[in-house]
Amino acid sequence: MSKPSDLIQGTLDLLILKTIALEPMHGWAIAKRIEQVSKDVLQVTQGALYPALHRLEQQGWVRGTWRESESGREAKFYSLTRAGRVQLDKELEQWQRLSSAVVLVINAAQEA
Amino acid sequence: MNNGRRWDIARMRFRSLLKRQHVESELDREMRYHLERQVEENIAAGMNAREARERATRVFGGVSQIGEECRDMRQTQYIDDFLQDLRYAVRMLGKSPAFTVVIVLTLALSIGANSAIFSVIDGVLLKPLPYPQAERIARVFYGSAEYAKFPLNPWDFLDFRAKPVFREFRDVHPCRCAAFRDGWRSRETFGVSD
Repeated sequence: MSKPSDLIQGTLDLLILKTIALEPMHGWAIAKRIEQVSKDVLQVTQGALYPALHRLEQQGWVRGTWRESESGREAKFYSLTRAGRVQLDKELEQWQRLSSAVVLVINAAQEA
Repeated sequence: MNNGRRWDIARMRFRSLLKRQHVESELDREMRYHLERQVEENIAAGMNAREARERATRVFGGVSQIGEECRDMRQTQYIDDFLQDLRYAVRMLGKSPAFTVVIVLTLALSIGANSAIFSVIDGVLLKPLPYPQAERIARVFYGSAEYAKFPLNPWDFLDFRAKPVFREFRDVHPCRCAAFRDGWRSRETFGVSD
């Protein structure tokens, strides 16, 4: 089980942006979705999630609005702003570059 | 950075600064919602209500710590901290009036002395004299091997002007400045013989 602190810094932002790119979600749903999609490998605790959401909101990449959730109570739904979409593309590209670089190094090390 | 985003950022900063209570209570509500969902999930997994709540709270960790981290993310804590420091400083100064008086007097004296000296320097050295063609104004002194340097009085001035060598003198001012017609002749010595 991977704690958020084990995630490479900045990866959580990418995961959140990607998750809410499909539809607006509240914090709980974001955490659950990341858990499910990653087959429980990535566990996002509240202690990491809410500060990250706050930061993304402050950066103008996501916007929160209160509305009724599927459980019938009010929850804060986060959605991507236009700037957030641009940022998501940027972070995806960065992640692609980083991960393929890591793969290169690992493969080279195995061959040696 | 496009304008929409800049506007969003400004709006958020403004909100975190001026509607802190609102932002805090919103965060509180948000986390409570999260906690409740966790409790429901635990109950669905077969725990009893008390156990479910305890477990959820434990997983949740320090709510105040999360709040603190969110505050850091808002990046307005510098201003908050500054205001807090300011209030603290005022309180401490109020507690020791003698110390405060000494500091205030020291500052008042030094600022006063500084500005007094500067206004003298500004008037005497920095600003040009308030006359047209101020660069042509000069002071005229007597000077010889026998007598000490001494300013000219207006009657002497009128006498001097009558002599051809001083025909460039034009006018005299009560401050014993003399205006030349053609530029500055400072440090030039005029040999005068009666």
